[in-house]
Amino acid sequence: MTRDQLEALEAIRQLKSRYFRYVDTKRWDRFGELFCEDAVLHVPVNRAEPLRGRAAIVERVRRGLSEMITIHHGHAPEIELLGANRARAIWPMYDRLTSVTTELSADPAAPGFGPRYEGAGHYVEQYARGDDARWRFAQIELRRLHLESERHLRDVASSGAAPASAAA
Amino acid sequence: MELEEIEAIKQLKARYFRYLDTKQWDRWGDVFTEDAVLDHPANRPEPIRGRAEIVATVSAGLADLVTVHHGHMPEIEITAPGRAKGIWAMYDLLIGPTPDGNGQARYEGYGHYLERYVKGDDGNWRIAHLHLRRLHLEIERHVRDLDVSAFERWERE
Repeated sequence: MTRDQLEALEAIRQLKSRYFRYVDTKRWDRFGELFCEDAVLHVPVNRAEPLRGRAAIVERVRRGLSEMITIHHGHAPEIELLGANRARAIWPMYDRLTSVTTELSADPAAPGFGPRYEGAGHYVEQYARGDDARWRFAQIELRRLHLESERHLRDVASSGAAPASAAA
Repeated sequence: MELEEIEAIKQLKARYFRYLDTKQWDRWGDVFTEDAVLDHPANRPEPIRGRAEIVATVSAGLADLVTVHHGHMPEIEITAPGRAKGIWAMYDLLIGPTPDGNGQARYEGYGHYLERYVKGDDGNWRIAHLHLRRLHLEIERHVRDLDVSAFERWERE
């Protein structure tokens, strides 16, 4: 591998480091700058349709995560250069998302405190190097291996409506 | 890009974690410059100044604990010849006695190290400034709280 190729790999690793850091420290403007204008983010476990475009990605991720404590870690990447300005990689990942709101959820489907999610999986990604020589995300797909969720439900109101047969 | 220097700093941080968790305090001290500063605001408001003071404080604080420290996702930048800065995502797990000694506590933490490095005349990079910022800390306590006399009183009444 040439020195230029090794430098590209290090630049891509640092790009991914910033991706995690800007999400977890809620730096949404900087987070957006890591994506190509026409980038695609696809998280099938969250929604069937991919998010298309930098603005839509930033808006949706900000709305979903800004009120939670989020921890994202990446591990052991496999990065492959596909020419001078294209690359792809697979990153194993771990994340831990915790809601610490002290107000009961207003969601009638899940009243109570929480939730907390702990997940593992792989990012399958493509990168493009722009005219400014910076690497950016062109496409991200997050494929989950495992997701644990924990909710602390309040179930007072419904108990009065429980069928008589359930009252043991 | 100074790839060799970046790799040397990654290995420096790997030794920081390994010597810390294996409690090899002499070797751990050598990853710091003589005048290094360790700033961990969540633990103590004032930074610890100087290698000797850092080793003395941290080794005393962790002596009775099982510790696991992991670093992830480094962003290392060489800012001048012999000078660098870096950010590492981190995870740690500490298990040991509760502060009152009446049980066991488990701390799981997540955050970032914000650091500066200096390369010495011996060619070795060292940590000159370490600032640990927490994103999240989970604490679990297993407290012994058995008072047999309360049960004996209830039986007598």
